[in-house]
Amino acid sequence: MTRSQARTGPTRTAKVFATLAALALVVAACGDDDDDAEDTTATTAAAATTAAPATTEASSPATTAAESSAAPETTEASAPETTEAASVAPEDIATDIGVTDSTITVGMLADLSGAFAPLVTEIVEAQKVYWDNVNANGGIAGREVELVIEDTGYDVAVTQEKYASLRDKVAIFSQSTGSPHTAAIAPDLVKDDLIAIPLSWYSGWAFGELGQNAFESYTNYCF
Amino acid sequence: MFGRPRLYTSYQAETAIFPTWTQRVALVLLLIVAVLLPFSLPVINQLPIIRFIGDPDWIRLLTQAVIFAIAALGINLLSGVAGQVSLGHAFFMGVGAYPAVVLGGQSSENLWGLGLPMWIWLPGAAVGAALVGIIVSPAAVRLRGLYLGIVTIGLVFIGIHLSKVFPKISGGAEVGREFPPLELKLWKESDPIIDFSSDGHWLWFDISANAKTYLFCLTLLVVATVVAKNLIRTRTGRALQAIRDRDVAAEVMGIPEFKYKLIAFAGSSAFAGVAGALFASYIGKLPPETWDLVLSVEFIAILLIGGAGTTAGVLVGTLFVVLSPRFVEDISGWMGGQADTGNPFSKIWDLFISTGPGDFGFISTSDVAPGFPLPVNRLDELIYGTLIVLFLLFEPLGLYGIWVKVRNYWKGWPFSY
Repeated sequence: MTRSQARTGPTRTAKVFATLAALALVVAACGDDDDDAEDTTATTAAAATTAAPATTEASSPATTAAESSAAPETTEASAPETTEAASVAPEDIATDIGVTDSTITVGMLADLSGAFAPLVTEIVEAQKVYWDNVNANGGIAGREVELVIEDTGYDVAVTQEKYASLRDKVAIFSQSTGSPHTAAIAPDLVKDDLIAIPLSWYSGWAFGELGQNAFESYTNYCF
Repeated sequence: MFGRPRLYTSYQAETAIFPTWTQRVALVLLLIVAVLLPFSLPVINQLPIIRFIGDPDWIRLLTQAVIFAIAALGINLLSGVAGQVSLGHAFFMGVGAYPAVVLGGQSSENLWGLGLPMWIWLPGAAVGAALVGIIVSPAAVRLRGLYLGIVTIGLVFIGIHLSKVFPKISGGAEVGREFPPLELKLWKESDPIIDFSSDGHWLWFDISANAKTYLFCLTLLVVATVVAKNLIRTRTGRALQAIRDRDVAAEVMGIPEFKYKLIAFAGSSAFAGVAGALFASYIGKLPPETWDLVLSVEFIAILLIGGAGTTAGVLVGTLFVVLSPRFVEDISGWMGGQADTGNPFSKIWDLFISTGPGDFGFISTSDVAPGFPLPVNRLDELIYGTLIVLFLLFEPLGLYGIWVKVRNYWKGWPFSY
């Protein structure tokens, strides 16, 4: 029996879109400093807001952060409620792997050792600050966000191993460091119905199958 | 164990591969434990170290250790038995993986691949790598020691360059390509006889995909170990050891240097090629930069830590080097957990462990630890570097040398001489 046959209710993808739509409103309230941290999270939110309207049509997005025209609409709300999710109470949302009644597990495949460690450890700290802020403002759909951070050391084989160990535990990967590393797990992301936000600006994320489940942050090197 | 184990009454008994009863019993027990490891059986689970190695999380790491052990047998043959310094082992692994993918992989508009089954591509990897080893071996006749080491470093970079020149084979720099999956098929049919990527049912019990892969790699390791151990015991092995000790003297005694160095390189590359093809298929998709100098140095570390020239030493060295990063993480996590409980030793653990910027400690379990406390993820690099230096200085025979000293001490106890 394959995993997808065992699932009922909305797919993990649709549930995650609703989650990110909620995030977008919280982040919009944070303002827009020039910091690396805020930029990363703000553009994550911008990508999510373009994804959120697409949810209602149930189409699969290949979004870039370029269209942030939807962002101004979200600035009016400073509390973590969304117009899309307002019609669904937290206890009525169907949940799947990585989400329980009280927690949402978010995974991160980060380089805590290796060539990029000095940069990525700072980015990990920034993401932690962001998620702490989300939790302090009530979490998402009444649930607290819990981070699971795994060290990949800029090694493709280790990234695949850590992905294999986390795929059954998380709802989304909020960071996946490295272009070849994320490219190596990209087909598995599609197969497992998971989404990753790559810490990579490879131009391949904008195209077809490779970028299907990779949510870009920032424009890539080619544009 | 019983009577006088080293009293041999026939030539055949003396030259047997496992001459004493103790060795045979130990070997059988080891094989039983190794085979039953992934199945969480009640008795095996209680053995102290085995208890958590049998976890599904660890099985994948253990399979990787088994695959690296096959390659380590190769470098043992080349550097340990024949004495040829080689920092190019990663190159030979890569050179095994690429014929395997050309024979076994799927072709597309940018990639070459023939889609042949595993019983063709795995030996093909060995043959391809051995041919490259034969081409490289004349360098070893001209050069020795440090200079041969530098030439073999050059091989690693030549390999990476070639992967950029032939993107149809390698898939392109930094991207790589899908390697053929591990499955046993007769020819190109779509239903494999044994599929190692899905859970299955053998005889009367269920077996997971990870366990199947582990057992398959273990079988190959056992075959490789028998070949390697026997090779050392034969005429070829003795010739290689003579070359290691003093190659000019060996030539004077009638051992043709060129022929035996060629055999050493070809044999070592064959082992490395098989291991490289297996590793690539196991992980699934690897960029050509995987076969870099850092991987070569890891094998040198395995050789030195385990014991150059000894088969058992090299196997233990591989387990040590591949499993210790994870061990270190787990033990640090355990120490951090102990520091939180109120028991009498928790102050000691708390001294060692720092959980964040405000807490003093030598090892930090938080994900980010700039400055003084060592982050757990980097601790293993420090440990393994320190061990290489310590073993080189104090115990050149590695862990096997330590075992021999301990064993001799207890054999002679209480007589110290």
